[in-house]
Amino acid sequence: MLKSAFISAALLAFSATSLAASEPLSGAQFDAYATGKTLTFAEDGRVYGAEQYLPNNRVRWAYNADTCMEGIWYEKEDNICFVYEDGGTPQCWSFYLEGERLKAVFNGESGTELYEATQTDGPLACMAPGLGV
Amino acid sequence: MQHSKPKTSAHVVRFFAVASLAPVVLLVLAILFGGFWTGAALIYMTMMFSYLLDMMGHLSTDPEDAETEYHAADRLSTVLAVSHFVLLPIVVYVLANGALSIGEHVAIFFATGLFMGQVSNSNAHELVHRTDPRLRALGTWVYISILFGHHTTAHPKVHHRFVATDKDPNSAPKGMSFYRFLPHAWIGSFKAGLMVENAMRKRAKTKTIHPYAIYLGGSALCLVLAFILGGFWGLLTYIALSLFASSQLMLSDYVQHYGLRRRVLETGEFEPVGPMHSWNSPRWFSSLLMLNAPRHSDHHAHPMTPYIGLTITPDMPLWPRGLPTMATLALFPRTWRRVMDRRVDRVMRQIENSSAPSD
Repeated sequence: MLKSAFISAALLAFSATSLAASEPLSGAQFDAYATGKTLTFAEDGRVYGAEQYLPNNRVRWAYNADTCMEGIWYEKEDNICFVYEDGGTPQCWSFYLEGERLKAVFNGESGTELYEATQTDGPLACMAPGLGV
Repeated sequence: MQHSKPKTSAHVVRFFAVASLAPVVLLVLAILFGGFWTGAALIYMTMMFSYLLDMMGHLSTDPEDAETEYHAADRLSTVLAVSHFVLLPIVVYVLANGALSIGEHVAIFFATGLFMGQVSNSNAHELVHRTDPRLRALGTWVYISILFGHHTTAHPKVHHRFVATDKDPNSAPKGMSFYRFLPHAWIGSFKAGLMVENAMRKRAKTKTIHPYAIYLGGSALCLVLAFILGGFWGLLTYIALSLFASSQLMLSDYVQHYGLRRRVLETGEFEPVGPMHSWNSPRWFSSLLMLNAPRHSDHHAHPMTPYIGLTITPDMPLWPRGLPTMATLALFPRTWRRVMDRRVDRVMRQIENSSAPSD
């Protein structure tokens, strides 16, 4: 009895981990993975952008090496949504852990799929927008 | 219509590493043993050598999966920058105090200058585009060490913004010779970069150290170091090496955008930078040696993408030969114009005829 309970618990744990690979990350999982890191995302071998994940759901997004935007993220259904200081509409992505790296699928018409290409735990070298000429 | 998968290779960073680190090894051997090795180091860096290898065949340098090699690409950049910092003072010391013959000294001088101008420059350029501040600092100091620190500001904040317009001092207009372009780009980029930094600091009310203070202070430090290493002769050698290296950087800028101009839109703004606003070359060896600097249109389209991820597409204007050959050609203004001006006209006609951008 105890043995079968143990096996079913093990099976449950196993299926939970295998499910985790195909299910989008929750806010807590995303927070645990990303916070404290700077991730560079790529699409077809080209860098799409880099983002630094700060405590309290704050982010800095760089779409080119010299300008970046401050923003925040929040969990909404199966998505992680981002709002930036430029006042644009929220951008929602679902994140998956594939192997050791993140995959992000844009929740919108483009359906853009990005992969984490590199990660560091250092800051992002960039300037806030509006500081240029 | 044909659609075939382009030929790719795995672990392409290895190819870049072999091509760009070989001159470091040859220079070390030249300094240690002189003779044959000084000749080998010099020959490796000459235009004729890259021309011959470029023409001899083709090696696919497109990665199978670029993203997985970004880390390795950054590691190679770090190794190249460190090699530069080790080589430079040793060469200054050897040229000022060494026991080698005059011929060997001349060969080491030119081999080092060509290495710094083509490899160190291309590598520093990669590093100042990275988002990791440590890598960016490394690139900044490579530029400072060739007395050209302001390029760290002027390249991303002026050149990338205003490329292929008269507002960028490093985009040569059609008809301007390299010898007129050189002081124009040097002084122009120094001033334009300074204005950008000043404006940014004013707006952000920053009290941190001015980047130009680091560029100029760092250069002064390097000059003092050269004097300590080799006295007056060491100082002179160092300045000559730096000018040689930075003039190759500007030569590269000169050929990469020569004659190409963006259209002005009805709104008064420039059209966005496109594939037709830079010159490119697919030749394999010079691309490996210069970390894909000749894949320049794609760099302007994706400035954060490491060199290994850059590609060439059919809508990008091509030089008839590799970058080092074209750069050498630009030293002969009349021949340069005979080769390039009609090509410029052809690309500019295409730019005029392409549908006006909707933006």
